[in-house]
Amino acid sequence: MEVILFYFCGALMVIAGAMMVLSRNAVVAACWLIFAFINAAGIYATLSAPFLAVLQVLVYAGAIMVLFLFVVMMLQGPVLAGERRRLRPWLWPFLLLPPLAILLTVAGFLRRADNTSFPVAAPAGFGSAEQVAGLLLSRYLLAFELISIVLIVAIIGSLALGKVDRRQPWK
Amino acid sequence: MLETLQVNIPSWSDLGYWRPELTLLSTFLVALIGDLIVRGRRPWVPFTLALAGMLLALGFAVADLGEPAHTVMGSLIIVDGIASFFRILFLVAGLATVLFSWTSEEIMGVKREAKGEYYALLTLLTGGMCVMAEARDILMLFLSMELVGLTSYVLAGYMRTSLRSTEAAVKYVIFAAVSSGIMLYGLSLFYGLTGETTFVGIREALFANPPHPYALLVVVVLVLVGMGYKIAAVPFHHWAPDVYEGAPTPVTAIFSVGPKAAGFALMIRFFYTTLVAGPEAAGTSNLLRLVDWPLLIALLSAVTMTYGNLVALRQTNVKRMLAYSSIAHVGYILMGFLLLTSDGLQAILFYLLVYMLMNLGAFLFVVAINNHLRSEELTDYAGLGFRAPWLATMMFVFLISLTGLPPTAGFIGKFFLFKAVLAQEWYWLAILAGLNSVISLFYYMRVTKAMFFTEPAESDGAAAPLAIKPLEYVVLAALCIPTIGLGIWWGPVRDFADQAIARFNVGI
Amino acid sequence: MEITLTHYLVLATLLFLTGMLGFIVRRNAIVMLMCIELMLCAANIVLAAFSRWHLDLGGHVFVLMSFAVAAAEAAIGLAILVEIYRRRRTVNVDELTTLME
Repeated sequence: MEVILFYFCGALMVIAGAMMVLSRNAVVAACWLIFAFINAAGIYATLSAPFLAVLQVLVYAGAIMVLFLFVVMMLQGPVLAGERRRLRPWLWPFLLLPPLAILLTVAGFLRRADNTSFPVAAPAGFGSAEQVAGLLLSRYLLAFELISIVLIVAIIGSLALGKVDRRQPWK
Repeated sequence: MLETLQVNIPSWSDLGYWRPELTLLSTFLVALIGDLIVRGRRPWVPFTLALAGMLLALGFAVADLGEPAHTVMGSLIIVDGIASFFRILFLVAGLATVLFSWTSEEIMGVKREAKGEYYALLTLLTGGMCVMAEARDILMLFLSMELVGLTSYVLAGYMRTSLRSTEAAVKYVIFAAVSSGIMLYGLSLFYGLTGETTFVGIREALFANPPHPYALLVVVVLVLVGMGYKIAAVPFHHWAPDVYEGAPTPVTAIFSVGPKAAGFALMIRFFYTTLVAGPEAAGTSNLLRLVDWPLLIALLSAVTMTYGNLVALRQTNVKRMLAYSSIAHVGYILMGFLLLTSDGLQAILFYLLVYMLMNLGAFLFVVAINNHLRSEELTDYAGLGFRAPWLATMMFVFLISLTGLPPTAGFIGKFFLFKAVLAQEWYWLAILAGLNSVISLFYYMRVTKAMFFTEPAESDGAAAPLAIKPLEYVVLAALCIPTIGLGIWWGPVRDFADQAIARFNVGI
Repeated sequence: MEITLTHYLVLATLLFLTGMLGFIVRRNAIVMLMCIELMLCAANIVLAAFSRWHLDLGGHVFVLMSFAVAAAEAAIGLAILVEIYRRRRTVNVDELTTLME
């Protein structure tokens, strides 16, 4: 069952990611990304992370991507127009990184190839909202507090940047 | 259901060690609320609140200097020697920037912009940098970098009336987001290699069970991408010149020292804790050999300083030239990381402090001149030596110090760095750094030449003396006097750095 | 047939690569931000997979935080893009050249 779910969601996710990169229209790209994120929830489910699976759908597919879609549709016109695709010279160093990452996955972890399979069964309740919350409010409490400040900055920042000046109407 | 939830909420009692950060965080909120109460019509309200908050935080930071190392609320944060050292550095830089923003026409001259958010975010940026210097868990590392990053994007794009500022913000946000994505990938693999999130746990796991060299190398490189972006090291520097040029100049001033020093603080704590067990144990670690760390850093350092200096040579905009020069300085500082020894650490700390003084000074000079000339072009700097003699003289001192000539602090800082490199017998790097200092002399002296040896253009009023505000004199003098003073009598600051290293905790 | 850690790592690498390639190839700043979201998602899958492998919930907390950070980054990034669009009528990074030498 898990095997089928992994291959199903994994394959769809990779396809959706590729389609996002390939589709010229930004709205279509955003829809493909939402599709990829919903499949990511399936991947989390196979990893006995039910809480993350729920949040993936609620937060990522639900909130973040809706924000993206909203902005794309608000800006319409030129945003959807075709674009030239070419490599900028200053991006070349970044091209080195993906091959390095592959090298890592293949060479590095396979050194312990004898035990890449997961330990038997996850203990009961592993990854449930309850257990994650317990950790979040004890060991990682300070991080939890800090993230609230990060979100305040996001609110204040987008308000400060996006404030529409009444004297200078939307052109 | 609830009674089965076992939550051990960490004790609040050690929050006292976090007074400066708590002060800055509450100042952020108080300044925002204060600005709301006066409906944004009295810019002095958020300014005074931010200033008072920073002063109070600085007071707490100085008072806590002698305290032993202490974690705060769990294991995510540690306040030790390194953290106290950087706290003072950030607070001084933040204070100078807040004061100078008040005089800056770019910030205060624009009627419609929200001053409350500006001062509040400046306070929060300082607080975020302090947290960066204290993080001892990869989760906290990521969060604090994001906190500083998000605040910086907003500050870079703060001047919405200026197209350059908004464009700078776009470049900043896109670059920052991709490099933090890469770093998150690297951090997730670090977690995978070890199953731990604290730096200490990671080191113990790595020492007990050394990973495959490729695996460790790639993970370290991925994490270095994120940090290299923060300190603007080549090849992750591309955002820096554009953002530095586009952002309001007071903001550029703090960008060029604050987040950069915070990135170095993070690098110090992360690499000195995970790859070696503290500066004293550098020679005994196999991990450095495993990833060929010295070569990695030497290459990064060599490329960064050479690129920064060569491109700075052909800049005509002083702000952009200083941006490239600050990239070059990152290259010099990276030399201290070669073998993760305590000599290197001492040189890094000393140089960062000196760099903070002189670079902040140079940028604040640009702010002061921009208030009058509305320009940062080198050609417009002609004759400034006669129009604002005191200010130009102070700029001359900063430039001398940035070049690394005696009798200024920059010379002593470079001396320590060179000593650390030579002690580790990396002669080619030292020679390259020497050559780079010579190159940098050319472009720094071009500014001096424009200021003192070029007659101002004969247009109307172009030769009149500038009316410099007293506050500008005070802040610049406060940065200039130690720049010279430390060049003659550097003992106390070296001891200060030594104490920070002695109380650098890589254990708990 | 058994699903091992390697499967998840390969999947995450593929997604990371797709995101990275998209970031490099596309010039529309909004789509570039979307590609970054995909890269973050790949990192999250690695974290969750290792969390399961080590049977340690720290990774789950990390993923949770990265959700929040991704949301904050998207909000600020999009606010800045709306702002630049308002003035330049474009979000194509090739056309934002005021600051180029």
